[in-house]
Amino acid sequence: MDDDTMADNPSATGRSSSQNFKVVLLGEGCVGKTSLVLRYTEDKFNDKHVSTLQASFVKKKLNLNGRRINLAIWDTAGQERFHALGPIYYRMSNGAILVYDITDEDSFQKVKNWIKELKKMLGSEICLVIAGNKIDLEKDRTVSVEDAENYARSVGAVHFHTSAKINSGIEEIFLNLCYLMIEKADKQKADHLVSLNRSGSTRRTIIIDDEDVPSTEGSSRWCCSN
Amino acid sequence: MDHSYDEDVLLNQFLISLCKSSTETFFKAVENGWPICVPREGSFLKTKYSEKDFNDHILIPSNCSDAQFKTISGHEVSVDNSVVKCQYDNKTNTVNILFIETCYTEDNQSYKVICIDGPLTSATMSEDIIIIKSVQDCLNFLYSKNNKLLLKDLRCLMDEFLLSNEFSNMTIEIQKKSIYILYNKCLKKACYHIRRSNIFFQNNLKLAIEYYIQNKLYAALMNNINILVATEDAKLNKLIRNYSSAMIDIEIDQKVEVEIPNARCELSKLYMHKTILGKFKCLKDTFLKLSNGNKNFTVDNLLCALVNLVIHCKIPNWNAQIYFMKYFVINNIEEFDDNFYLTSLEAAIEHIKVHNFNLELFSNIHDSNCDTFYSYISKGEYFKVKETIEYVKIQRCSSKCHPLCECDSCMKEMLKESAVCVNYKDEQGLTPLHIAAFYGYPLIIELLLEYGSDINALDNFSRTPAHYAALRGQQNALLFLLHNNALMIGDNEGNTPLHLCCSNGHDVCVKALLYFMEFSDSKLDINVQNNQGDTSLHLSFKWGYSSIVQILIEQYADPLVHNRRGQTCFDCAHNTKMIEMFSNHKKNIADRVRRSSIEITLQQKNIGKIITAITDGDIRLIQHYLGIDDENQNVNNFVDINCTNSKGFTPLHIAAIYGQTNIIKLLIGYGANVNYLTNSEQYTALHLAVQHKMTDAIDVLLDSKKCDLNKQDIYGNSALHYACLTGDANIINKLLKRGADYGVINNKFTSALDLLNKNPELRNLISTTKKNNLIYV
Repeated sequence: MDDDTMADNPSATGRSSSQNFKVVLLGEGCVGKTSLVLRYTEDKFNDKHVSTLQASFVKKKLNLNGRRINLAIWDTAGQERFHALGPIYYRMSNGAILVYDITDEDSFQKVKNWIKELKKMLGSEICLVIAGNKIDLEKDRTVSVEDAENYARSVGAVHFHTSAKINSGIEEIFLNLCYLMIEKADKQKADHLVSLNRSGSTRRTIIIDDEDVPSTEGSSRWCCSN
Repeated sequence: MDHSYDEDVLLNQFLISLCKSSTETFFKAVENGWPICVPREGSFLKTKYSEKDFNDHILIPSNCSDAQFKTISGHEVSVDNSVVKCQYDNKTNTVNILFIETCYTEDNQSYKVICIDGPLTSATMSEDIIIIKSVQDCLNFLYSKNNKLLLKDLRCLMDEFLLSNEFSNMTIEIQKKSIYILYNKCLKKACYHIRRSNIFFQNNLKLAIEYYIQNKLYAALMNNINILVATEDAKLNKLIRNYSSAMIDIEIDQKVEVEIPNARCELSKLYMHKTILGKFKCLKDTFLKLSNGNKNFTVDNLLCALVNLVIHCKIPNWNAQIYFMKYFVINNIEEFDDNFYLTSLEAAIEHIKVHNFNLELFSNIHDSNCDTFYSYISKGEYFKVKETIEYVKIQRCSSKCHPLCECDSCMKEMLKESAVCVNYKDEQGLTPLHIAAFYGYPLIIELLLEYGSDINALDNFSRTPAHYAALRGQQNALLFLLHNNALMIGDNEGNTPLHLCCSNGHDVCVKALLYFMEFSDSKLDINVQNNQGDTSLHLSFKWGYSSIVQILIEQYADPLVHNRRGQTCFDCAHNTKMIEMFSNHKKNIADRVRRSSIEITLQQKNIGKIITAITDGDIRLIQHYLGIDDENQNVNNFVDINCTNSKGFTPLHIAAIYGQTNIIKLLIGYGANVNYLTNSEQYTALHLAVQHKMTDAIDVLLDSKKCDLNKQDIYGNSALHYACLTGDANIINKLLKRGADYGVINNKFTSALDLLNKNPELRNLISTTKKNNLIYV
């Protein structure tokens, strides 16, 4: 393989420089997850070109000041009977947006449950942001700002106030999440490089970035999946 | 998955010089949110871009329409379905959109970059961007773009690989490795033939080779995967088949529901695609068909629809398909943003596996009386069903002005009442008996039959109650129906109950059916074909039920029957391991028939057969049933010799009733319990023999010396009571000679002697020695 430049060593331009991030949206049935995504991805070009399955699955290319990101936003099922399918959807995600309705205390409780579950299943691998949605209905608020923000802080998540209706806070929440994910990815990459130097194993590094350390063991690619 | 064009726009010369030399224009665009069209790198070569060039490529949205724009320089531009159309010099230039990227400046201001295939100002298109979307594209790409030897060389490599490696015999892990090695070899070969530096081209080449390999190796690979996940698939198939046989309680959004037939059409093709590329495209198309522009298409909708699709698509190896798509991506793993489709499919399948759906057979019936009646049956509420039927019967008599009246009002009343009746049919043609069979309640079936239900009633699919019992694997119900001479006929699709239990994976029912067929004069042929020409063996092979195949083989099902498509059952097999079962089974077939039959604990059915044999006096057949053939003396019973039917009659009781002395001898000889009591009356065999005046049988029973002469039945009667009642002096003498006690008192405080004394004529016939004793008492 080492004499084969095409197989394993894409040049510095092109796709190799962009990162793929998967973001899942979690939250109860009618908290407005779907409209959040619709609002975020809505623009005149997306209608047929980018958006494929309306709001349930959206891809978006971002360029954060030179950092190229392919963002894949996965909506999840809100109905209780599909709850058990959560892990299938959120495995391998880099980030999660947990949405609740500020006028609905139960939906906030659900967010807490989701976070508990995510922490249990994925540890700290995943970046969490919480969205208090429907702030256009401020007068009916039942979840207090303080409670929500304190809770978010306690679990290491960032809290945002959003409204799909008046298009408030949506751009920010996705942008911030992207920065969080980049930070985490960079940190993981650095950690792996350190551990690589210690252990001398090349296997893990391939998963992170295959330009820096050319693959020496072909088979390892089979198991990498992010 | 579309291997679409990609480049880093921030390194694009056009955009760079826009930022550098016309900063003002650039920021104006950013501030106003005007999209910037950027011709892809290399398509718009100039040493220096002018201000006009930039103005031609920045779009100002128009107020009237979302798709209409004007460039800064004033040209009309419309954007439609991934192309930009620009009015320029009285011509319309059409340029493809390659991708759209949202960029952020350092202070997080966003702007939109539309990467296009060439400048908007010129109609001349530079070299096409080839997007590989199908296997044919791969072949075209490998063949046309390069010298024609490449494809030939690749083919040689593949053939060599397939021949030398014994690929199909490898384990999956080794297969993965060897494919990767092969892939690199092919890639090297391709590099040798083509030297091009374009990264996009290179990626395409990789992709083309990957799919070329997958296409070639698919059959061998799939074979191994099928074997690997065979048990999982068979389990899933059983679930799917059963769920598909009735309505499950999953609500699908109406808008989505109308799209389901189309989507099903698409998804059914999944197994025909031989590459991951093809399969993903198929999944994506399915999803697009489901959503079909529906704004409210949520994941919940999607999952509900997918569950429905998976259940009805008739693909017999879902797990294998998913395994292939998940684990056999060679190099393009990061392209799989479309994993969402696969994940959703997985999620739907998982949901089917873990969620216990309720199966509903009947829709709402307009008549509320019938609705309640049907739901009683479906819940197995025997007494309520009975109550309803009897109530209706009473009502029908009592509501008339005279029991025999036929006046208009009475007849009207009659008609209304008959709505709830055993032969009512709902919209699907389902009678109460169908429902009872589907939910498997033998007692209710018995009740309904008693009240005159038609055992062979056909519903709208020409299915009998036996079909429904077979569908759901209701063994007891099925046997009960068979026992009551239900016909084994084909439904509208030519499927007999045997077909249905084979395709739904109910091996116990298959056993029961075959066993029943073997020992009855039923006309059902094990090799019967449905309208597609499929035998039950075809179906069990298709859905991967190896246990059923085993049973069918043992019963000598013919594996060489061809269906309408000219396939034998072997051609239908996904799990090729199952074919081997045929070569294994021959050695000890007899032994297996025995063992598998012992497993059937269906006393009810077996004793039914034995009863017939006993009444016919067919001693050979009884020996066979009981597994006590002459050549096989061990009493390793086929059927327990003391087995009982529903009323607690053992074979011995039956033999006693019919006076089959040889059989009684045989049964006692093989350990039948002589003093076994029937359920309700608590008769011994002796009671019955006496009642039926079977003198010889009585002799045999008494000769066995184990017989309890004075055993009383539930009425307190001993055998002697019955002998006196029937008035056969010979029998009375026999019993007395053996020491029967005439003083035993029954529930009416009557002894045998009392009975005898009422009949002086008979009394005179009793032998003198005993007479003395009698008088003495």
